[in-house]
Amino acid sequence: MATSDAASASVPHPVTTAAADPDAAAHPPIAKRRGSYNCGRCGLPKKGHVCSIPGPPSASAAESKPRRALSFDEAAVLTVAPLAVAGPHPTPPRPPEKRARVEAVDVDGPDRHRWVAVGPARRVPGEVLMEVLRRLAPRGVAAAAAVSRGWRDCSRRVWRGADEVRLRAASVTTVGALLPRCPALSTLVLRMESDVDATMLACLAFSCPNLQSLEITMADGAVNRMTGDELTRFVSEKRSLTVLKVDRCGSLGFLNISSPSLTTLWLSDLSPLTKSVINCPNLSELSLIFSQQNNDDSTDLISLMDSLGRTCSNLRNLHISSVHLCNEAVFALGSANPSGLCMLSLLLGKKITDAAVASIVRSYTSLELLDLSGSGITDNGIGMVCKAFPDTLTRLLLAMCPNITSYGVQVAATQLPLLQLMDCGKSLCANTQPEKGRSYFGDLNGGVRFCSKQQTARKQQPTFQKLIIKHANLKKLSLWGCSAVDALYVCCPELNDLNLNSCTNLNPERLLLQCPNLKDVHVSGCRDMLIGAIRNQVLNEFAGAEPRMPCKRLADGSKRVQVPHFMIEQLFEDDKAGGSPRSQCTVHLK
Amino acid sequence: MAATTADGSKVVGGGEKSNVDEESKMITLFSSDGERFEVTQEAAAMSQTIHHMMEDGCVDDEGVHLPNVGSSILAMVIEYCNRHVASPDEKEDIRSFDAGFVNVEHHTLFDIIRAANYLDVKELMDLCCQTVADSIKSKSVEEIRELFGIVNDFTPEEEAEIRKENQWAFE
Repeated sequence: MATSDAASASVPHPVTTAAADPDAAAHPPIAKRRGSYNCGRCGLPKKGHVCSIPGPPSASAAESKPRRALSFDEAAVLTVAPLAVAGPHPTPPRPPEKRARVEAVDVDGPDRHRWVAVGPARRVPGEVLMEVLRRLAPRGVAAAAAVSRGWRDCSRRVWRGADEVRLRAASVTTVGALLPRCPALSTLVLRMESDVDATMLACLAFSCPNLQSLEITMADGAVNRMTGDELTRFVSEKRSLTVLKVDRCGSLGFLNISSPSLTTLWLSDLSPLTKSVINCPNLSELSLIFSQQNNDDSTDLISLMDSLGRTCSNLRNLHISSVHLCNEAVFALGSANPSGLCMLSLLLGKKITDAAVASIVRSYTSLELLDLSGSGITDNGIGMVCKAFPDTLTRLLLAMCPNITSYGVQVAATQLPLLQLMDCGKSLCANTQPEKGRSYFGDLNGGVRFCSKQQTARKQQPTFQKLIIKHANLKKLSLWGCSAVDALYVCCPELNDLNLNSCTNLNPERLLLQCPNLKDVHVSGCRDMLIGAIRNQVLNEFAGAEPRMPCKRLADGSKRVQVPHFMIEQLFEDDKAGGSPRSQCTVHLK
Repeated sequence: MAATTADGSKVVGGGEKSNVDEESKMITLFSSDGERFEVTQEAAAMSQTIHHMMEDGCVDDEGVHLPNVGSSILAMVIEYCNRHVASPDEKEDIRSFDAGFVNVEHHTLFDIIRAANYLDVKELMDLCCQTVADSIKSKSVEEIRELFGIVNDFTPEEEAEIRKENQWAFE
């Protein structure tokens, strides 16, 4: 039945964008984890957090782009990633990281048994040297080609058989020189160090008839001048293209992507678009990250979402990051599509409220990931989410949501049994004023007093909140920047990663961590006393045999202090916390 | 090493067993120079070539002749296979074994690669090819030649041509 409530599956576009921004990271469907998970700036796990730590001076004033978490790659990989050489045909489809196998059959018959000298008294069949060369990065193969005739021939065969190339290219001419030698190329990952424009697309269109996956990232300072026209033409001409990821799409101007084959589309750093049409019936993953620099809100997100819903019925992952996201856009998305949506990330939409959550909850039946970081939802919205997706939701990201409180977070922890990741970074903040004006006083007794120069507290946010999280499955918890939290009790037997960066008001005496599997704790920006307390708890620096006492010694060993009352109740309720050695845990100070 | 069985006869460690023992069925391999090697079927099956022969029933009691593999190299390949089937789960140990295993001269490595290619032992191929590749990467052309002792057999024209062809890599 098709009601306006969209009982049919909406086009889910949880797009997990891979990259660029350490800020918001969407989550990949099921942990296909590769690369670094942590934001380079704040140490917060990249998943769904919007990083508000300013980037390096060269970065723009606006936050960096939300990070696409589906993908994995960091730029560094590109310089040394080896070629992958496929056999002639058919090659099984491979994810980019894997290398294809060289089949014994050689495309050039007479070359097959040619032997190549690899030493003063050693010759090997050409195919053996090819096996070695194909594990080199592109520049390694180029160097090998100049060693001797035999090596040159093997290198050429390696290029001819290459089905995946990852290349850091100084310019388009580099690409133009190499691509014609790789007619079998199906996957191309480029890191461009200089400007890119239509000639790049023309070169790709010309040289790579079988191209299926194309990814272009731009180095800092390199400008992507591709226009919407050129991209449209390229996509419609490349009948085999299934994956397209382009960085720094500031010059596009409009989007008109029409392709029967495309399944994955990631475009980042978009400027306002005058028209956006995406007509890709097989599209399963879409990520559109709009540049935050522009205040121009002429992009009509509402009709974009509407057209997505109508044309892309197979959408499973949707990731949209734009400060102009609003409730109406979410309504438009929800009203038109089948409920196959699995991952939904709508980032930086300050105007998104609980009304949008109501629409999401009505439209989709089995979300696994929901990322509404940067939105204005409240604890009510969290409650709605918990009621709607208790059986499927594994990742909930609500970073930089100023209107949620620890109550909402605790509701989520209680009512979402499958939850594996929760990100509340910068959401539970003491108030909106910058923290510079605060002063901290060390108490003579070793406690910490907070002296606030601000008299006004946020209306909705109590100044200090205590947070109790007990969850059987939670693996990653981020409370980065939650300066409103002054007491924390975390009892999660499966927790691997805990981010407490900049939890500046967390009281070391009101902290209890019972997470025997904790591997990483992030404490950058925390005060020494807190770091000390954390270390004591997670590194088992006291003898393992020592029974847990309801009082703690101060970090400087000077005296024991009573653990506050509420902690004692918890302690005696639960079993002993982790008898096994926890020495594998790393405390990250940066 | 030898052991004495109940009836007084000697059994050589790792040697043929007259009774078919499911856990350690042995198979005989002959190198190109006639040396004889006894391996468990499990270890031998790491070679897809031998594995297919066993499956197709082409292995008789006499054993398998490997005219393309010399005895010293075959011994090393067998050592690798034995180690990898013995305790496949001990990642750390295996890694250090592998590191020691490939710590040999390049020409030996190439011999092993050829044998592994012929015998189709994928893991050994990967390990050795990657080792050689790692020793090549980031080296200049001259350094590669020097490393392996390869003679530059290009004519000046050919050399210029190849340099031009790969100019993109050195921009």
